[in-house]
Amino acid sequence: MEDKKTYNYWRQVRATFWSRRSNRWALRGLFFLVFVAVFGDFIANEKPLYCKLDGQVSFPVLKQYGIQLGWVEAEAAYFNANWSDLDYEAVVFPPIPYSASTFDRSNMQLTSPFAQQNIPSWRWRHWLGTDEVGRDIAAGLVSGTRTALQVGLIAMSIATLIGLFLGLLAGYFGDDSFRLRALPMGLYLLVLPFLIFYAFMVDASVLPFGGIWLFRLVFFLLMSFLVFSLGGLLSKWFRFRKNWTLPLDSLIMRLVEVINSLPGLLLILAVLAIVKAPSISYVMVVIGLISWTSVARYIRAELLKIRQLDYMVAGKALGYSHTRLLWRHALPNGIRPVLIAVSFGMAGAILLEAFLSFLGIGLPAEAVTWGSLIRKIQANATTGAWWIALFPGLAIFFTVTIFNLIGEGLTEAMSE
Amino acid sequence: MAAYILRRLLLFIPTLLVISLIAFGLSKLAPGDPVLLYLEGAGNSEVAETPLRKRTFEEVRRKLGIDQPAFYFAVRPQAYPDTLYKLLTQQERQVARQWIGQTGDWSKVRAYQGRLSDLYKKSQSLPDRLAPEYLTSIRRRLKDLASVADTSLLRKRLDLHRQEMTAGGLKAALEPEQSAFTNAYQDLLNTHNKGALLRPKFVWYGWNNQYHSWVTGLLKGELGYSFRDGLPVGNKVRFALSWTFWLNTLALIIAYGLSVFLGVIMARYKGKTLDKSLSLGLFLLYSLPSFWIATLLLIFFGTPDYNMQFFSVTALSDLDYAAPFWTRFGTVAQQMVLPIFCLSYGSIAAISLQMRGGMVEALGQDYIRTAYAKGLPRRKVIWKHAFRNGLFPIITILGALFPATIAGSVVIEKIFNIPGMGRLMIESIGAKDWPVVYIIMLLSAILTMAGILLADLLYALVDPRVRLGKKSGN
Repeated sequence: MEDKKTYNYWRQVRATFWSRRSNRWALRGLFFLVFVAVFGDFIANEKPLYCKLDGQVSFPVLKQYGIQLGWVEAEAAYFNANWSDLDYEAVVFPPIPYSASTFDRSNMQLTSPFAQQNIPSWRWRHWLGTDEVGRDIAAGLVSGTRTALQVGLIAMSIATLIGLFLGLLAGYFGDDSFRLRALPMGLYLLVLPFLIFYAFMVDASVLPFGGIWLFRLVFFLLMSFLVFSLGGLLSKWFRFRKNWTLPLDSLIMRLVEVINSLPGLLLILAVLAIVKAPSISYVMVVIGLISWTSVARYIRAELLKIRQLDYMVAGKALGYSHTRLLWRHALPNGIRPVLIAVSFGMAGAILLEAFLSFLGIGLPAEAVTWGSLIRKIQANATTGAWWIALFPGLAIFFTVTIFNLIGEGLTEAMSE
Repeated sequence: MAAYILRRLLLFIPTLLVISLIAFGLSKLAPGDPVLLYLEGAGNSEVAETPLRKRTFEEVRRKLGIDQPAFYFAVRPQAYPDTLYKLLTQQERQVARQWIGQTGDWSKVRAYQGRLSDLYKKSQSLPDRLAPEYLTSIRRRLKDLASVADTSLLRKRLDLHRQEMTAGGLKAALEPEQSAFTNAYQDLLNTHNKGALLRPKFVWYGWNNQYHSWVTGLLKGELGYSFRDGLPVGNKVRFALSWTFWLNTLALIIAYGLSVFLGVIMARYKGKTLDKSLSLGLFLLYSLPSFWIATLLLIFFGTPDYNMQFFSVTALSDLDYAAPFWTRFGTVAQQMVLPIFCLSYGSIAAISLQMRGGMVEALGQDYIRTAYAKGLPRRKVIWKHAFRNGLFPIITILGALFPATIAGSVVIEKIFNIPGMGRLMIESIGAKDWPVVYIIMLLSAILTMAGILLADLLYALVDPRVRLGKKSGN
């Protein structure tokens, strides 16, 4: 009895994946990175985790979150305080007692990790050295972890959403079975130019809410929905049942080809050249918008197989709706290979972000990331300050390796 | 076969059209007036005052082909005039657009701008001795007002203007232009023609537009002129290509040569320590960010501190193109060792792992067992029977790697200062040199598609089982 129940595809995949030592280490590495990214403020911070000052107990790092959320007022007395110099009655500092932006004035000019450092005790040592203005490299690495994972996560979320949606449609419907009811579609196509005009092209001065983009988008979607429903009602009313077949698969695959032929880096640079204030969010969005194609291709290929399987045919014969077949039956079975695309995509996105910040593109000047740390070596090339380039590079290397290993391991585990 | 290739080539056209539209659209959205960029590049950014400036602008606009409407048609609210593109500078166009967006009445905007310019001319015609300390600032302010469409900012500036006018006792001297201006200004502020802003209007501009001239120019082989230095884009791209092409080809040849060998060895010793350690090593190599390795190498070999200056890393920037061939060759070759290493190590890792996979699969086939059973020596089995079949995956990879031989590597060229395509690309986009960016974008799109086609063709060439032109299940 037990045996029958225990066969489970996911369990199988997990067992195969876990059976390799490199995969286990990659997963542990990933957990470590996520931990550092999430709890970075508690790992490297110039503020103490806990302190007793003038008889008052406080938790400055925690409090910082409160201040950022607007729950707590910042105390003006500590606004420009040098946290390391205060007279504490009791204090616990984070493992790295520096923030990424802390200037250690007594250890400026590229202090080597092995050099005699100008510090009160080993507790204040810069284990990985400092840069030319006395910022701790280890603290920079911690802050960079957050940016790197953030970029990878957000870019790949966008990519997965788009890729999943289009890949599912292309693979499920193919070229011959996506039928649109002619009346609502025709009506919509007629109205669409006007919708676009009124939603996106009319000047803000004649729109409510000052024409903010969210409003325009909501208006567009709402009106689209209304027009479609109206078309549906009309076709019911007039008993007009003509359908149009849309070669969805070909269309989506042409789109994939166009996106793949676009040089990604050039596109990112072009978009950053257009926007007023370049920021990392544009980089994330553009990476997401160009890397959905691999997700779409994986899931499309999977669905082309799935849609011929017995349970799908049976579902169709039972008259299940497309939505139900897609969401309840095709998606859960077809989603596995997406994980592979996502983990390789994460590696790619993190590498791209590091390279962009290495070039000094798309980041505010004061942001500390792995790439921006490596960039500093160019200005300090003649000083022999190897540590500012070595450690961030290793961080990138390990992160990229981890994601590549996971992708590789998943590919292997799923192909068996 | 020929029909198949032709069909694939025909499929390039819609993709290229879409990409040309994307590139063109991006360039139209970008800030920065192409005329100003061009004049800056030509060395005369400060073209002084009116008549000459106007003529220069008109000339440059004609040369760059931007004296025409942007596209075949336009859809916009009725309030906007069809001839907005005729305004000389991007700033003028922008200010006009902002005003129209706020008021919906172009004629009143024109009236306001005309009165403003009258007032400015009047202030210039006044003799300096009237109020020396105020007049200059009034003139400057009036001149700047032409580029302001933000009403709150405008109000503040006009308050200052009035204060200075009263303090300098210039009120009477600036009449009647001052009151004409105030009237036009008040009139404009009170205008809000909602109807004209809400009615859509479709304008057909015909074939004489920027996009059409650009595309037909491309088809005729006219690639346009760089904004940065006025050089023909073709020349710039050709020069960059000459560097990138042989550099990347060399790297690719080295990578393939080594990888095939490594891949076969790993497959031969599959599962043994040699295979495992090589696989892991190559996998790690694959994850090494090349910009980091390149930077480290550059520092290590380029800085006197380490006494490792075997490879010159700066010679290329002042390479003497007139020097005899062998001298040049020597300099360049010495400089190219590190870039070629950095270019090839990543592909070595990727290709040899693929080669290993291909060989492992080939060695697992029945005919290999048969070959062994016939008593053939292992070397012969591997190289004569398995090798050709094991090549399939790395041939597919060639399709993906080939575009890079021409599109270049931004990372390596930027760090090692090689004047190739990658660097041209990043510099052009940084300088908003759109004519060059267009060409690079189209070129790399063509290359990517050609690479995929090439891979398919090669695949059919080595594997007789593959029949092109038939719709496969995938």
